[in-house]
Amino acid sequence: MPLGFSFDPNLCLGCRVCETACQTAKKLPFSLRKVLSVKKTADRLVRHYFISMACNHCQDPECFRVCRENTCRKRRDGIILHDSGKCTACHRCIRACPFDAPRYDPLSRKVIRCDFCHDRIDRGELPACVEECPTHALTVTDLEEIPQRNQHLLPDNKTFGATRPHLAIKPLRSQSQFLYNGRLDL
Amino acid sequence: MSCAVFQHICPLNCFSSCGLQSTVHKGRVVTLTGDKNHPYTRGVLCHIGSQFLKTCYAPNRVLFPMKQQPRGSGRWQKLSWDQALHEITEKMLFFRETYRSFLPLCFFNNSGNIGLLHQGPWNWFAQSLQTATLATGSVCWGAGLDAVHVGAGDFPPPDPAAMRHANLIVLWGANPVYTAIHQMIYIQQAQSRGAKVVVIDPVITPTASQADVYLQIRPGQDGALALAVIKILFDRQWLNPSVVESLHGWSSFASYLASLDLARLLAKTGLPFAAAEQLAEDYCQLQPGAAWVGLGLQRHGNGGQNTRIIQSLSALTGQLQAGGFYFANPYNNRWFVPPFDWLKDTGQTRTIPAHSLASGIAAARPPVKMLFLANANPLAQLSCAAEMAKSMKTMDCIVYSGFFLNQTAELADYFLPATTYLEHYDIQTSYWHSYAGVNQAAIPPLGECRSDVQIAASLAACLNRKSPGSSLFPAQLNETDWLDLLLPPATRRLLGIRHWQDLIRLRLLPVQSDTAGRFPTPSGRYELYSTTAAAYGLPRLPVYMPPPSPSFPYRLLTNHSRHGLNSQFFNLPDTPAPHLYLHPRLAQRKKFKEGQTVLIFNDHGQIRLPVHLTPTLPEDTLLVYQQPLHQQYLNSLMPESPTDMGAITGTYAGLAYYDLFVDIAAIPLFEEVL
Repeated sequence: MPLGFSFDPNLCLGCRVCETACQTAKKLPFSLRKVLSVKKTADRLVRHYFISMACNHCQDPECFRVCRENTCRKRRDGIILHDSGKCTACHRCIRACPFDAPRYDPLSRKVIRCDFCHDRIDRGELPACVEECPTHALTVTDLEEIPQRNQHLLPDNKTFGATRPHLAIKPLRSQSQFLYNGRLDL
Repeated sequence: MSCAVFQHICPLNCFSSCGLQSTVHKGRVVTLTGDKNHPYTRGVLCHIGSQFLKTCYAPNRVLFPMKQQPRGSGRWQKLSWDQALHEITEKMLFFRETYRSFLPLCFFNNSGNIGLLHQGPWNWFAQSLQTATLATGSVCWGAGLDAVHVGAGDFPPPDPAAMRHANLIVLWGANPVYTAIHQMIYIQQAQSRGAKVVVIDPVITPTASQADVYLQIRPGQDGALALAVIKILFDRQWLNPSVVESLHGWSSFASYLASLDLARLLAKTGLPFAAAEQLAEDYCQLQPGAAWVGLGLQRHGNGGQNTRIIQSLSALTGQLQAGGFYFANPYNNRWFVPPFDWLKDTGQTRTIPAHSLASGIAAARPPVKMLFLANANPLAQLSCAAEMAKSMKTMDCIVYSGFFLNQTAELADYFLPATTYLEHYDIQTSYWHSYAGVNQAAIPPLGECRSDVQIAASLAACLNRKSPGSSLFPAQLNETDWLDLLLPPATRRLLGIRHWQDLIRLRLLPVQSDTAGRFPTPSGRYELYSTTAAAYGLPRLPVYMPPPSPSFPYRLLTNHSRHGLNSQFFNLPDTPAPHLYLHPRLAQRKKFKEGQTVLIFNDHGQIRLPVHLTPTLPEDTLLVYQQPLHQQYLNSLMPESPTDMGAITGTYAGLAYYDLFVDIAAIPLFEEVL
């Protein structure tokens, strides 16, 4: 039962409530989640939408592999936990992560990352970002139930790659698009 | 930890006018969250609104009166309120002595705070001088308000939350994902029920991407598309005869429709016949329907007429009569601010249209010598910013009231620090939903900040001490006395309240959705044919009006982003840097690379910005999100071109922001080296 985030770009307003919720819940000067604005041609249509992204708790986490201090462990439900006590802030995980998920916290001088609000999960609650999302664009899901993850909707500089992230992006709603191309005859 | 909780309404000029709650511990606001009990906003806050504590407690916020000597030098010195008021009123009296009136004093209060006690006081103070000069007319939405008024009169706007029951939602030039996130939640509710959402916008916005149908229209041609849709409905006899015949002027409009050439109309919009045909079918078949005209659409030289045609389409299909036509409207302010006795005799006040403030000041006789600016940042927001800056530099004295030393304040002599909504009381309505309430002061003013009404009162008191009778402004009233004044007895009865404190809990203002087919127009019906329009020199019928022809090759749109509102919120730390957005094919033709700084120019001015390529724009359209720039003015490119309407419901037309044409060029190599 691997837990993961499911994200619906058809519902996300880019309001960044998830970012603020994360920051408030974790009492941090920054958020561990980031809302990306994506403008690209997807499924042959020009689209502008948002992707909310934090640590994707990958199946084959690169951060895990590169860490010399063995700070990471993966729970049976897929959540990756990072032991800040052992962290020497060598930044190797920060460089290795394709999703810019681990962050350096200058206050604690440790690397810090999304822990899926595991304490809330254990209490039967949802992660703070999911709980606060006003449109339910961001949800927690059992990834085995989702056949398609729609990698092509990620921003151009990101891919699911080799780490097999626990993130599923729902397909964009089909649309009839009539473009006035404003083509210039110069 | 013992905390006190206070109720607030965000007054920073947006559709939602969110309900907020603050908690105060030891005299400091520690949390600011959305009020989950607000029936419309339900506790959701936008990103910038949720960060307001960073503005309130910003280290660079000005908390004391200051004086800059010499002007523009950046040498600001703190001075006491008494000294500042003394010096300012001395100047005011000197100009009255010299010119035998207060006409050399020009006041401009804009929409930085839309609370009633912030929209009013500076204007009331100006009028209380009886002979002062007032910059008036909204640069924002006058064309649309007039258009709506011409057709439907003072028709009550529908409940925006009811949009969730519609089966068709047509967003004409609206981008609620950026500008009204709460409304987007209601739209998504409709969509999840199976409603069809159509977005008509030149820019592929995030709202457009969530729609079922997206029409990329040529800017300024929305009226042509709406007429094409009406023409299709008319030709196919899909219009309900009993509905169209209930409209005033149907027979003359029908003969106009018969004369229209559909292909020519569609050629203007840049859209294929299939797009208009589909839209006509949807308007006809998907009932109940909702159409929302955004504010950007009416910021064209033909913006009022375009809005009028779109509204007529809603009326012809019966959508408007069923409460399905939406346009932002300050309708609900009518329940507050009764006419004050002491403002009855102010006929001598001179007005200058805000859309042409720079040339208005230049042409004024007797001249404008002293400028009062509050809740405003004219160098970021008004037209001809470079001329405006020049005219400010030659002004004898400028008094600025606000939070920060922004680019306008940099040219002022006196800075009077204003309170934020966490520090003052106010009553606020919304121009979108129908809830009103009192905004409580959670903390005493920081430093020596004063609210607008207190500043106006202290100016009036100081002036009258020196020269009794100069101002009729009731200087003796405190902030809460004003709340009593704003609530006339009739409104208290209507809302079932006795005191302003009863309004701390939000109240629903009277919503009259069922008008039984009657409209508050001269004919009592919805007017296609309007004598009101004719009296103002406008077309009698909602006929096609061409947009102004381009004077330069590219149209520059200056839309709202999600990172700010007009010139506010750009003090926040995560504000993105400004860019010129353009289509990759245009960049290729111009040989521009991503990130390269280029010159944007026209006959009014020039600015330099790095380019950012995006496929979400038409090739001939550029976009710079409205945002104060560093040491240059975006609106130095903006001519003083008024919209077609605005004088019926307001005093003057709005500003046709989106009829802005420019050329772009690479910066010459030798300049880059320098």
